[in-house]
Amino acid sequence: MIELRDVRVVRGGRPVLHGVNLDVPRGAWCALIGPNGAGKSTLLRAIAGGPVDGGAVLIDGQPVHAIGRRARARRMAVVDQQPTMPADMTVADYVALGRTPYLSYFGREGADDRRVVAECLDRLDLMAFAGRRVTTLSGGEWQRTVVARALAQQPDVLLLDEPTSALDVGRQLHVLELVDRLRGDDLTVISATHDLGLAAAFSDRVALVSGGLIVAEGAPAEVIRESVLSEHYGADLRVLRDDEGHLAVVPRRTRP
Amino acid sequence: MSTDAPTPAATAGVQALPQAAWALWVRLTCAVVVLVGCMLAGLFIGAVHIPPGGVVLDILDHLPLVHIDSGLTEQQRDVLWLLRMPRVALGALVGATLGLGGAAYQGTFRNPLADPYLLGVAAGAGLGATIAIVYAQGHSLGGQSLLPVLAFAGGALAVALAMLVGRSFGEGRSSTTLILGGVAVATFLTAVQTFVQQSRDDTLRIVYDWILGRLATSQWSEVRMVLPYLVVSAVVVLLHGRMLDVLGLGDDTAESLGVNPARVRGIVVIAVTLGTAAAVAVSGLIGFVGIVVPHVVRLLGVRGYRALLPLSALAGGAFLVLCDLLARTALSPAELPIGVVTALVGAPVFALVLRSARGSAQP
Repeated sequence: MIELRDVRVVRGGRPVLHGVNLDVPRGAWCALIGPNGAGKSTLLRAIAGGPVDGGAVLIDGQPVHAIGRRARARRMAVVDQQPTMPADMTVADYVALGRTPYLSYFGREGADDRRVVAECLDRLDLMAFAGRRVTTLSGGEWQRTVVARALAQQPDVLLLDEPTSALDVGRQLHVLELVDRLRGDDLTVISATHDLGLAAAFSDRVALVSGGLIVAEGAPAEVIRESVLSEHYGADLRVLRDDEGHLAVVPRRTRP
Repeated sequence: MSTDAPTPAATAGVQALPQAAWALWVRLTCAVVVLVGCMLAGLFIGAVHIPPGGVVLDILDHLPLVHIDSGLTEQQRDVLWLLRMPRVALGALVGATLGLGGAAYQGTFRNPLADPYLLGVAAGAGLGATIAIVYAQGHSLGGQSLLPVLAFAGGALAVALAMLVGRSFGEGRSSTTLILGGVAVATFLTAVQTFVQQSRDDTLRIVYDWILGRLATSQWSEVRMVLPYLVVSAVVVLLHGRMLDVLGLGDDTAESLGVNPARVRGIVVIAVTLGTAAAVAVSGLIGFVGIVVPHVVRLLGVRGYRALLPLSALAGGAFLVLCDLLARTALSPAELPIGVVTALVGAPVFALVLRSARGSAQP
């Protein structure tokens, strides 16, 4: 369970988060949506143990800032928006770096670590790429590799910052389906995204961040509404629903 | 997150993961053979003819419990053990230190142009050496010439100053602020060094000789003096191979993996500085080794810092011994400054490496 209590963050003298409260139950997928500069990435960073200027982030009742760096990395993994791609590394070596929180400062991977790495590669359909250099991967393969590295941390909580923004829609779905499959293991997922349709399709909860506050929070259908989105995105947006209840957000031009 | 029982594919894949240790050992063995070969060439070749077989036998004769008559004359033995051997040993040690330091800095700062002099150690050592030559020639400290002492102190202080200046820039803990601190300190110290150097015409030549690097006057005392620093530095840096791989993912990701990037960077910088300042103190400023050698090693398909660091050290040692051989034989009996040879050989090799790598030789 992740709990945010009146979390405030100030950057360069400017308040970015004004007092955010949010509860994400264990095993849930919570999507953070909101316009550019709303504070989604800052919020993710605060949950990951980044600096806050007030309030508290609790993981299973324990303040995240009171947990040591390595212990925190065993419970929480982060997939950044544009992760650095190391040129010299194979997929297997890259994913193996996810075992860092389990190794001593000068330690190296043992048999158990290699087993976990192999499992993560297998789960993300990457076993065939294990010996490939990461620089030779397609966008989708690279994104799966990054998620595999995060899963090698064996976290309880997975934080995704725009995890599929560079992918075409097919690969977006593939990566997110893989992440969704992992939730069977009680994995809690918090993702920041601009794709409202995918947020609605995959998350149990949606939190709309605007101006450093969570202005709406609830089930996707409760938050992804035309009036709410149009007000906070400053655009005329239509929300369409198909027969199966899937939501799609369509922008409307102000001029014909 | 719990993990399910591994699938057969995963179980099979474990065998292939993640590092093929045997491949590293094969490469290390090859690199050791190359280094030993270069060192033997350095011992065999010189102005005084010494039969290679005699050199090998004489070395074996110095091993415990081995007694072999090498057939060398007293004069040949003196040339071998008092001139060539310390020179080759120091060349291998200094080259290894510079190669290792360059690879470590390229990883620490995620910068393919980084070399061990990045944070001002060369400028500081240059100032220390220049002060010793201009103002304290002939003076000693406890029987020890002041030049290496002041060069070492100057190099170490320059990096300490760069770290302080770097930390004073804003949050001051990133690799960029550290590099900027190094640039500021190096520029300032180089200006002071130039001023001190120009203040005395009669010592200009000696200062230039030092700046261009030298192994010509190497003695066992210098090897003994720097060996502890170089060994401590090398051990600490070599133990950081995996941490440098983690730093390569960027500071944010490194932190999310439970690593404190600023602390790792600080430890590596201190260790590299210890080794580089000691190497520079006895060999002067030998350029290009630290930047070229790691890139050449990468070109051989070496991935990851756990392999790159030891191989860069071995290749750096071999490269400098070979360059020194060239320096003393190309225009024999005259000698070229070693720094000139490393640059003359290193620059074209570097260009070829970059051309062949087509951008893949990034840290």
